[in-house]
Amino acid sequence: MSIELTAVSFDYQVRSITTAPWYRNLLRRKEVSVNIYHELDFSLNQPATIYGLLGKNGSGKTTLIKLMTGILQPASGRISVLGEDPVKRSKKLLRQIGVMFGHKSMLWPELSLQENIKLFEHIYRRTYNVDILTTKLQQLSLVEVLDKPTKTFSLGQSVKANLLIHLLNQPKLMILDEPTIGLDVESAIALRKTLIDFCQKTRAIVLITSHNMMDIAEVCDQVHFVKSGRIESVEALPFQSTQERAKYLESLFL
Amino acid sequence: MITQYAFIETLRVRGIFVGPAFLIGLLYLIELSFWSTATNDNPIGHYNRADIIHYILWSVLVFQLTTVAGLTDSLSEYIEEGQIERFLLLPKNLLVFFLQYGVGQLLARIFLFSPFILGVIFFSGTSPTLWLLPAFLLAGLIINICFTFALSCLTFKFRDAYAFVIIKDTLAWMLSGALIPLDLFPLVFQRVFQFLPFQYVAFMPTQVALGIFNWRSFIPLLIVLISMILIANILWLRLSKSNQGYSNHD
Repeated sequence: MSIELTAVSFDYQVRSITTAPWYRNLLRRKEVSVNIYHELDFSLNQPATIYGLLGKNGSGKTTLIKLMTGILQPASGRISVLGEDPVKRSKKLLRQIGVMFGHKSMLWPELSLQENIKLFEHIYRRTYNVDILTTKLQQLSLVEVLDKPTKTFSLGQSVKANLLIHLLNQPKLMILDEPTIGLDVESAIALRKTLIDFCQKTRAIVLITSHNMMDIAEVCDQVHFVKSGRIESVEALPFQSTQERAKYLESLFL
Repeated sequence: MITQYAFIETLRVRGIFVGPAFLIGLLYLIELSFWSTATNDNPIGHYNRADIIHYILWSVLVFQLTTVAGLTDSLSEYIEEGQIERFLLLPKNLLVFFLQYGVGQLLARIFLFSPFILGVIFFSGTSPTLWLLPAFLLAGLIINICFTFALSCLTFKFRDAYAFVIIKDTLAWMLSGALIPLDLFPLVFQRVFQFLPFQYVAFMPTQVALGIFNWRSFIPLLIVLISMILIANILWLRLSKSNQGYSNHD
């Protein structure tokens, strides 16, 4: 059970607007290629491990996640996720991975959380364990909003509700792209605790990207930095306290 | 389950009835006054005044039932703006998902418009083929969704491909028979229309509702229906693999 990227290259096209007078750009379209990764090798292979992925804005963290989940196709190289090629997006693989992109919600806004849970139980062809559901609802403080339409949720409730559904699916690979952005302290703590608990109980591989060093320092067992299209790994964080680890990561980041 | 929840969700959206109901009212006003005046002295084609009124009453209503806005209409935008991930990650064929969602929306609209539908049935009298109408509405809806879905998939290859969807929607108003009965067009056009998807969105279900449906047009319907499903699905499966991810390269 692992994620392997071998010699992966990826570039994308952007429309270039030159400094020529505006009317010259109207009909002439120039696309330029931007390279993000070149011959990248990267792997996540230890079960029950939370990996952190750090990098500056625009460094390619989200792109890496999209490559790992088959949303984007690499220009060259090979990607294997849980033994499958993610670009094929087989239903079997998609049932085994959970991906959360920041605030983007997959919930249906007019339905209550309870109804959304039933809906995704059907979509993912699972039978959610009632005990696990009850525990997770309590852990994430979502019991009181169970019968409210999800469009009325606060940002924190929405992020937690999305996480809840992913966790109920019991994925073998869980990826969270900046999950605590905009969350209050209480919600962020609940989210971190829930993730640690989930990882330990299910032995899933969890990957988190965040600009919040506290998130990474508190929950991650291993940290990777994305810098100029390359990945540098920090195998073990040298300090015990979360604050010291966060400061250490900050110094590496800068 | 998806159809059931799409039905519930559609009914819960405030104003879901107001917009289409206003449009139906407005179109009735314009279309009926135009055609009523136009056929006052002389029939047009084989339509006399009563025929054309019955036709318009049904066609406007049918077009609103088979043209449901929502997920499919926004697909091109989702691809362009990089919000397609949530659909790409679903362990379900997206076309099937959108069709199930569309059927839920259709049922919700039939439920909401039932006073209109009953009124039109009462006014125009029941026809011998009215019982076939739900099947033809469903076929029209599927063809319409597949058409928009297929055009939206082009966004994976070409930027701003939403223009294709706008062109299709504009053509649908004219070529579906929602505003002008297609059998008033020259014969050569009618032959072409038979193999275009538009007429199945409004004209054909309207013919069924009026009881002048010809079973011989059932085979072209099946051909168009199956072709549209296949084209939409193939385009999705092939083009979604070349997703460029136009934005959010963080």
